[in-house]
Amino acid sequence: MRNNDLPIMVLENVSKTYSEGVDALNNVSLSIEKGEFVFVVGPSGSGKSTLIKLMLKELEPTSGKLCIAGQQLSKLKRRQVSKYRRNIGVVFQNFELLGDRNVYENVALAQRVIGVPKRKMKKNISSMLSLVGIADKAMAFPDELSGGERQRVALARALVNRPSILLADEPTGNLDPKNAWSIMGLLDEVNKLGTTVIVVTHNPEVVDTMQKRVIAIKDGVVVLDELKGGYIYERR
Amino acid sequence: MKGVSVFFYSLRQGIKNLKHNRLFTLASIGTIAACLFIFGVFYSVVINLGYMINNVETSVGVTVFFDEGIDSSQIEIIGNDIRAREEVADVVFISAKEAWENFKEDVFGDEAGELAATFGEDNPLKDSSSYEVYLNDVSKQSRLVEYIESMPGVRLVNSSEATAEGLADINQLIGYVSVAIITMLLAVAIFLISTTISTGLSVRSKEIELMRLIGATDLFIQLPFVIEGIVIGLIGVAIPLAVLYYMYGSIIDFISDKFNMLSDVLVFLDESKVFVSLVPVSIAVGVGIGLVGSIWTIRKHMNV
Repeated sequence: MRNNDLPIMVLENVSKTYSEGVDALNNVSLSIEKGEFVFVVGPSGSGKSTLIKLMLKELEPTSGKLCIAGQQLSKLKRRQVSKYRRNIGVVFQNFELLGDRNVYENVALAQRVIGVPKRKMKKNISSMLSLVGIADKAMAFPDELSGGERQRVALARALVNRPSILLADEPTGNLDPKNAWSIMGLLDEVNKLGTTVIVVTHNPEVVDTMQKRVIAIKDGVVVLDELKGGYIYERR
Repeated sequence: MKGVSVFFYSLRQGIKNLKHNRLFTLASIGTIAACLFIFGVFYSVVINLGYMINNVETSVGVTVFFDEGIDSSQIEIIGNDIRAREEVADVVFISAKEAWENFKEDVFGDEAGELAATFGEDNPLKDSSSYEVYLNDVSKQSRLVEYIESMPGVRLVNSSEATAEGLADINQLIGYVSVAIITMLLAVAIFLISTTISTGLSVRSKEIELMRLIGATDLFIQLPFVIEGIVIGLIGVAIPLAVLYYMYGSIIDFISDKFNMLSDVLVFLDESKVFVSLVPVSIAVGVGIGLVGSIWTIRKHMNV
């Protein structure tokens, strides 16, 4: 999936030490091309979540440089951060849906944030719900949906603004194997449509089967970066 | 168009927050209503007292008597000098004849003609021509009296220092008490609005975090809470204004009936004259409390 364009994401010697003195990432350098599908794997506490937070500019690196979607994150001013984040779709392990709003309204939130007109919003949401296969559930509330359906809603919300990057943090963590595969299928489909997909996962079966690029992190260090890798992070 | 849809979305969210935190919302509205009710009462009292004092100021005057044997041109010069003073509203010349006529009427009443006849053509007050000087601000009376007393040709200056100073002092005291009470109530109201908004922020913390991550601007996140504060302020204003409007006329009628002996002094302003200024001032205070309370809380909680 690599192409000749500039990388969509470049990390140069990125380190992150928390105020308690915990080194979450240590001198991490990596580059991700536009349209790539990347798995980020590693044991709990390895620094995967810190990496995601740095990519979303939820955290600032202690040292090093992050360039994502053509922007050097350290140079973004507060008011520019919201615009930057609109280019990144996020999917969480626990879906993060709003329980008091139906499926349509949950997806609409992402469109409202960027001020999409009502009519266009309706059209976008309808096509996105069809893409993720829950068009018939638009009026349902999250507690009326299965785990797989909830993750589809979360995916629809992450994709409805047509981001160039999709970050999925343990998207199959709370799903049974059937639903997990279904979600991974959708992510693969989205990737084929041109979106760069970065998936943080603990699911070895998915990683081993899909044969995508794998970046393994352990103790805050990238220990493996393979183009068609499996779920291994012990090798160095 | 984009701004309009964001506004209506924020309005819906703000109202949703209000419903969600019903108890705090009611407490905030209640406090603002109580605060603005007291504000309205004091405002009405102060504005009416000011009006009454103004009436009294135009009726309480300073009387200036002249040296015996002074000629009319000198009296006129004194009059012109007094008229030129900024605190003077009007100067009326009372001739000796008028003074005697007024005295007869005041002292002898209906029998003035009969009793005064004993004086014949004599005017016992022949050296009592005077100026009655009316002020536009009673608090400046002592300064004026001092000035007139120093003028050549002036024999005596009569004034009611106590009345003038007393009225000015009462007005000032009520003003200070009002400011103190209203300030305390405003602080309580802001605190309660802040608590309401804080509750809303913590209830919606997950949503706020999510909105941040999907690219919502600070304004988009904050607007529903600001609207929530303003709505609380506006409802808190509407209640006391309506109550005061209906109470005002009844209270004035009651006071006028009970104290009709003082009808010359107790002259009240019409509702329209009080409310024309009370309504915008109250709305500004109510909306101001809502804005200050919500923005202060948002800044505190959201590290804006």
